[in-house]
Amino acid sequence: MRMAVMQEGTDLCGRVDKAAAVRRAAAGDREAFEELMDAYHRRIFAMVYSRITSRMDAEDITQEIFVRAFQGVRSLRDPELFKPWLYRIALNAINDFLRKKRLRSIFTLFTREWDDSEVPDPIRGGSDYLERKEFWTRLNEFFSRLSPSEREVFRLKFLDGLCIREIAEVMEKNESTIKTHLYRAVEKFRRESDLSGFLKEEKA
Amino acid sequence: MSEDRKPGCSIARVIRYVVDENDLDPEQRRHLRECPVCREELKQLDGGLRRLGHMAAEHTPEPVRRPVLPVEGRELPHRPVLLWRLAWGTGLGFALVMLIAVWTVFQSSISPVSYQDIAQEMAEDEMLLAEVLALEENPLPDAYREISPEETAGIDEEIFDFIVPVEGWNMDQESRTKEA
Repeated sequence: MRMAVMQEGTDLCGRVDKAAAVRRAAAGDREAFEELMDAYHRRIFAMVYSRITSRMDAEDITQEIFVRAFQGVRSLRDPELFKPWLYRIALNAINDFLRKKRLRSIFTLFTREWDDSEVPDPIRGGSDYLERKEFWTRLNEFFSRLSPSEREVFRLKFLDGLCIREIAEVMEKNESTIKTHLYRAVEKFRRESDLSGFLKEEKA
Repeated sequence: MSEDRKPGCSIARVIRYVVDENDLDPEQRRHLRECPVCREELKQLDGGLRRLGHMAAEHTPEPVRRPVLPVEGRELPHRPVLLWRLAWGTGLGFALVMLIAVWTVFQSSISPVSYQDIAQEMAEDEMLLAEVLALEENPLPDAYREISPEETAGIDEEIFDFIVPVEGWNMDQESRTKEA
């Protein structure tokens, strides 16, 4: 699964990356890690939020992800692997959270798919909150019709913007397996007239 | 999606291009560029997926808190609130299971005796009720039953007056005699 030699300062997909900062962070430079944290904070938060749709929990999990990354960055050997490594930590943290949530749900009468405790944005108003709720509910309905691997690969590609090689690293699978899952997921997306219609409505 | 396909068109090729454009050979890529049907299919599918990505970003709130890194040499507690909640939930669940288990054992141990007692009590109640109803019908002891009105129905009143004269009747007779 190891990729070809990368150009200096680029990530697995050939995009310019913060390789120098990763090297310094791996050598124990706290400021370098904070620089990386600033660069990835919003993306990691968005990744977590898209999977659990709860702002408060997403904030907590994002905090935990960066603490885990900070504690383990010294063991990272290839700077190009920082991004998929960070996303793998994030994915594991999300899965840990969902496992605990399932365990907690045994002791409660019902669980909420949507976090009702989230406060609507006072500037953009309640309609923004309702639109957001509607969007994620529709998207999660579509995801429920995909297998777990198809769902994860689809999210990493089209929501998180990772390339095939990065996804393969995050999920620790070979690229052809990733492409197979992605192919099936895209085929299902194409057939989902409900979701396509919803996207057109939103566009209009 | 268009159904009016040319012989060389394939939706599978369009999807493969969306997944990874490098998977197609130059000839297939040229077809996708030049064929209007395939180009339209690709535009629709790729556009839909891009729109989905943009909308997901638009519908994601901004993070409020910046993560805080632990101070060197000191370990940060991992989400204590969540752990406390989990501990409480587990404890509560365990207590509930124990309560149900104890109640089941207690119930099974007392159940046979309890049902017998209830049946006996009901039988006794029925007997008592029958006795009360009998007394309501006739409260006299057995020895007086034969002379009670119910038992002696149909016998002439004069016979009773003869057997047990009424005092008032005699006084009445005497007062009439005096007046005369």
